[in-house]
Amino acid sequence: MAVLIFYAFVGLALTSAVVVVTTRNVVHAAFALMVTLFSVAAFYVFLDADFLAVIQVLVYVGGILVLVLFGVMMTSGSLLVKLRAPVRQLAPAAAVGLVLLGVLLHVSIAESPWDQFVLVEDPDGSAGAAIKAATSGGRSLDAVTTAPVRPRLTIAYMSEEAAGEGPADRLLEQEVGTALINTGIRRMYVVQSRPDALNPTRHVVLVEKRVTSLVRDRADADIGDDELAAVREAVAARPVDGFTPAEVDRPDMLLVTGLDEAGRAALVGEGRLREVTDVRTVVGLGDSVMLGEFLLPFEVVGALLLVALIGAAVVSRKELEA
Amino acid sequence: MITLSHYLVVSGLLFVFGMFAVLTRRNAIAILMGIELILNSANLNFVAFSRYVVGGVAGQMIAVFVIVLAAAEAAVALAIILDIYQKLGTISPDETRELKG
Repeated sequence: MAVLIFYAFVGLALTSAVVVVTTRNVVHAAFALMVTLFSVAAFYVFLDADFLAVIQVLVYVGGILVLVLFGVMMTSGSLLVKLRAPVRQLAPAAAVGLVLLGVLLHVSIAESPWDQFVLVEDPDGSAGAAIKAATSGGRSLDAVTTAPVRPRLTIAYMSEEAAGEGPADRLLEQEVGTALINTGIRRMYVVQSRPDALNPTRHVVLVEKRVTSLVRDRADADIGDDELAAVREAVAARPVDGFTPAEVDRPDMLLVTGLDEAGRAALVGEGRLREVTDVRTVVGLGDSVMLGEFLLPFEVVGALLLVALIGAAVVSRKELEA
Repeated sequence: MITLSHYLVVSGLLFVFGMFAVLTRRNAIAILMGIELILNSANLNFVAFSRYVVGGVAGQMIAVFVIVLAAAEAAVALAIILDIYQKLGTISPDETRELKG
């Protein structure tokens, strides 16, 4: 159902955007732009950015679009004439647009490195032992757990502390990869679990590619869709760190619910779960703006807005006096 | 199942439409609408990446700042457009050549 609504808004956004680009009437274009902006606000809701959706409607539809309509009204002398470009401009613009569209779609669909999965083939359970051995020595040992989910498949669960981006973490990946090669493993999935920043009562489990080039070079074949599906099912079926995954609507994320206050406090105490701000509320967002890391950008943008307002007033006023 | 790629495709299309409007329109206000489309597509990317890949509030914050920038830009641009219209009687970017040396 949610997917159907999403596609409805996709159709609405793209259709109205085409109207914005092609219509001869500027007023029609402005109202079509309103539909596009509303659809983008709907996308923000789908992305759990509720506050941003409200801001989108408030500022864009209520502010900017009204401003644009005033501009249309005050320049209505040249409203309906010569809105479209001559053909000699259309052709190169269409060419540039199509090339750019091809590049963007290729990057978005074909090249997406953010939806990749890694699989551990584990015929005899040695992959789990190899991962544990590679991560022993005091570093991130507890963070890695493995689970055989079917005869030739093991999923390694890695918490946020173990699956970071620093040099030490890359070294960890190298060691895991080398250990896996030594046990005859060619592919692996590593499931990374971390608290969901948008809602601290949920737990995000990322299934992503964490594999060394050594392992990648030795891979026999690309991972097939059925294999991906099997891993997704396995991850969804298995409780991760004691939580039951409840929502599997994305290929690269699982949201784990069912965490009560006591369990959360215990995990925070163990350092396996981080307290995060609930940014879906206005209070959380306000905290990060007013008190947190975004104070300086907030001030800079505020100053810019002031300068823009004064500048707009000056530009308009000079003409009146003349 | 809605994936990150869905949002990237939508935002890529919006960007191309906006760029097409900027390139082909002969009305400065219509060009401004194209710019708004481009800014919205960038915003969508920020929020989608922050939801699916990074996790956290940074992408949403940048989107909020971009919205504020768009508001400031629209105010100044429309003031300039009105000024040009009162001076020259047209807002076609092809016909306003006052700055041409």
